[in-house]
Amino acid sequence: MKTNMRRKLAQQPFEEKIYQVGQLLQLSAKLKSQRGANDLAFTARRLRLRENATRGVFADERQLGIRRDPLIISAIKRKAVLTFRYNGKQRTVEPQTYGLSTAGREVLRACERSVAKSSKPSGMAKLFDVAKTSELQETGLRFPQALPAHNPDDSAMTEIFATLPRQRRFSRPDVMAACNVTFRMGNELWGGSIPEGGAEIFSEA
Amino acid sequence: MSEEPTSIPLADVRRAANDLVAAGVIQDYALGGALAAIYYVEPFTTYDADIIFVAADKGLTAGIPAIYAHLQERGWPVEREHLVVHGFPGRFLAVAGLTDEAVREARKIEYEGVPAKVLRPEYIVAIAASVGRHKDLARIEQMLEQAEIEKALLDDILRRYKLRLPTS
Repeated sequence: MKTNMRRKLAQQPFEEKIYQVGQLLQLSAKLKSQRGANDLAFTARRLRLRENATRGVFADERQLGIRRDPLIISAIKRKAVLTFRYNGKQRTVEPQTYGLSTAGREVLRACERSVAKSSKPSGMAKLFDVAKTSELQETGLRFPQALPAHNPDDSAMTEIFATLPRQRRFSRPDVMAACNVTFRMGNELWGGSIPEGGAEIFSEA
Repeated sequence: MSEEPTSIPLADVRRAANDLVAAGVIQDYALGGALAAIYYVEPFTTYDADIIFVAADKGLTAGIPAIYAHLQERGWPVEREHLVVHGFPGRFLAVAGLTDEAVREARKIEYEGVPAKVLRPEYIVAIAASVGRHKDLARIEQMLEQAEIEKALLDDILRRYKLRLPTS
């Protein structure tokens, strides 16, 4: 059946066949230009959809009171110490992770510096409800890195807006031996090297 | 090529080739390649025309520089080694062996009032067998299925040029 149809097409006058080849070329050129236009339209549509989706997410978040506070995000990125009032007390913290809790609230995982212990971190990170904070600002101080127990994939959060990288931990004795400062914190031995005024702190796992 | 072809200006291509014959730049020519196959089978897309010619100059270049120089001199549009008419490229290919015989045995036709020659289907099949690319094998299948082929002639050509058709 198909072969017969093709044979029939083959028996057309040459002029007619050449005309049809010309039509095939036109069709091919049209499809190519259409495909190019479609590719552009498709990309533009995807960008619009993504933009609208992002806008939608932000709008929904605003309705829910989610701010994605740029001050907190910036402080985490730059390892800047924050201070704020919380439950009637002034807190000074080293922010570790900022995100949405499993209950849908904006939370900040941060290590509180004790005023009594001359602004040293307590070693424990607490979860702060960002909606309950006030007078949030940077102190101007910096901290070197995340806590040893810091987990960038904080299990208390469903979405993370910003987090510190995990602390580099070494258990190799030669690394510890290279440290020019060592000290014990709780059950852990800590070591540090201070090359050219900078500080690298290692802990023995 | 600067623009994509949207038609086949075959009559113009043949006028250019006839012009070369008249000027003595080439001795003879025939339409080969896909367009020759289309003479015998259903139409399909092709993007150029192969003009297989018998050179007047038997030197190493087969007179190809002279062909394009002559075409340009006569006002035909030439881009590198293609005659380009309305965006459709025509390529001049010098004969050798099988193609030489194919041109000499080519069928005389008339297209839109312009006399020309087109390779016989048996030679189209034999040339495709000698080249052997995927598209040539597909062409052989198409020709055997749709064109009226003189089997004795085809067998003779294949035997003389030591060619074999692909087995399916």
